[in-house]
Amino acid sequence: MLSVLAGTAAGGFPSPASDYYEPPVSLDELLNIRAPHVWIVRVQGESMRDVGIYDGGVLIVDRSITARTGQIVLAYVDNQPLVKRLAKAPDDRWLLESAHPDYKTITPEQYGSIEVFGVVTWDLTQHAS
Amino acid sequence: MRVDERRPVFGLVDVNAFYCSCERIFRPELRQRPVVVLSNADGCIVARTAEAKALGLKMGDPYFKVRGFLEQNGVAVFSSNYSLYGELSNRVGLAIESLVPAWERYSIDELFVQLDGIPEPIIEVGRAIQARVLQWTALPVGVGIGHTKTLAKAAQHASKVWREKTGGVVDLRKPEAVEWLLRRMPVEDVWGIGRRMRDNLARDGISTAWELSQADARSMGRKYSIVLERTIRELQGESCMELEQSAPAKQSICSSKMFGQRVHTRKGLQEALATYIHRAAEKLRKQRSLCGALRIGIQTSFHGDGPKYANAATIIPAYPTDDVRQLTSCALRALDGIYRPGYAYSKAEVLLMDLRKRGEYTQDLFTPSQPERTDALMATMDKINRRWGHDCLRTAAVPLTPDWGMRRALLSPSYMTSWEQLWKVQCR
Repeated sequence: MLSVLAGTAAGGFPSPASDYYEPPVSLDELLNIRAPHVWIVRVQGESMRDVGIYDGGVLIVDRSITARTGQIVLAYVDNQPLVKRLAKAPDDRWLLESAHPDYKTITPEQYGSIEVFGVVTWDLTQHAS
Repeated sequence: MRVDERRPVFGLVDVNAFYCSCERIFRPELRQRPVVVLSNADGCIVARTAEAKALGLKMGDPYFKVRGFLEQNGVAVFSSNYSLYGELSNRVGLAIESLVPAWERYSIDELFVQLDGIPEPIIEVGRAIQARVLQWTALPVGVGIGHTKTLAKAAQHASKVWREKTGGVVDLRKPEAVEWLLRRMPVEDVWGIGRRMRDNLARDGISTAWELSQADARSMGRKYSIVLERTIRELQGESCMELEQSAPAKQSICSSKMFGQRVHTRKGLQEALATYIHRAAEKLRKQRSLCGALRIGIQTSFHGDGPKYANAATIIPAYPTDDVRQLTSCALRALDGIYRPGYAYSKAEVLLMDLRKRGEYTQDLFTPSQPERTDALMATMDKINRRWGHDCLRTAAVPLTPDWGMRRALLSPSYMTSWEQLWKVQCR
């Protein structure tokens, strides 16, 4: 059974002698996945195969980055969550490119609405378990 | 705008239809469809979108009564997914923290922020909060600003009622704006005025917030309660409630505090969490509720150069409880999962969610005046736990819930807290 402390916590807690401890390198830090604007999602499908994004892979998506041409994004396209590479059509609207010869570029005439959810910053592929 | 700089300025940030908005992030096809979320205790509606409201659906409508209607009208129905809502609620707090000097979580979807000392126009800070929360968390919020917490809450109410006109941000500091709004605001929409108090006030000839604000605070305090007196003073513009000093919310209880000095050890965090749980459980028992889910969070400061870390975890106790030992052991177990050494922690937080009234869940078994029946319940719990395994905490709770089959069917995935259930996005 746990005893519960009386009084308030505001007075502070003992500072330890571990002031010189340095934590080991952290994937959380590298991928920045603890930031409140970073999301982790799972890939379904092969249309981005040639940039190394495979079916079943994991993507790190950052909503704090403004999407630019050339970036790979997660976007709501006609209310479907799609992963594509952004390019610009001559009229300045977005083209949605795939990275697989079987999948054609989606042109502005082919979608009704597009809203970029976030920019893909990393992909994770498992090679063994 | 001329504003007295010595007076405090509070903001209330509130997520629009929070539970429903969370579900819509991962199901964008539902963005134009009505959505409701059900409680998992008794299967009634606890959250609804504007489209669902327009269909005439009300908070508290029992699911079994409206089920056919929901199907006919294409309403998307979800069970409460507390691990999802808890994670997103945590992120909303972190997004707001990056913009304001001090804040306090009031409930799972509402936060008070301190805005005094920030250069005018403060309404732009409100808009910045709205924009950042939307950008980072994909959740829409409204912001109310006022010289007291009660007026900030009223301003937020106005931002909802006149969302088109206000863009969801309302600054209610000018006296003429306060009068304009309070004259149009039914007294039961004032923060802290319940149904019973509304009926009392109706007998006194008070039906609007404005009429209440014109009443004599002291004599009303003597006649009813100190809480009402405080509410009247706050409506009059006199701040009576500091940050972190608010009454408990109905559906969630939060206990959190910035540490006086940084905490570097697991033991320090354990002590802080135990203390907050102790407080939150006290509030829980005071309002005679049981807690079905709790969330703990720890974080370093977002400001400064030091290494930054923030994480949180949601735990479902074996059964809804107000037992401080049970809640504390849940919290400490969760801490073990998220604690990382080497950081200077600045804040810990405890959020009790999925609150139900005693008895609502298992009829009269929980009645405190009958401890032998409580013992009987504990024995039943132990039996269930033995049968289903001590690790199978959710399962242990399930057989007591009359609608558990349905509950599981309508529960959305734990998109953000389980590797197995991550949000699936399409490469096609």
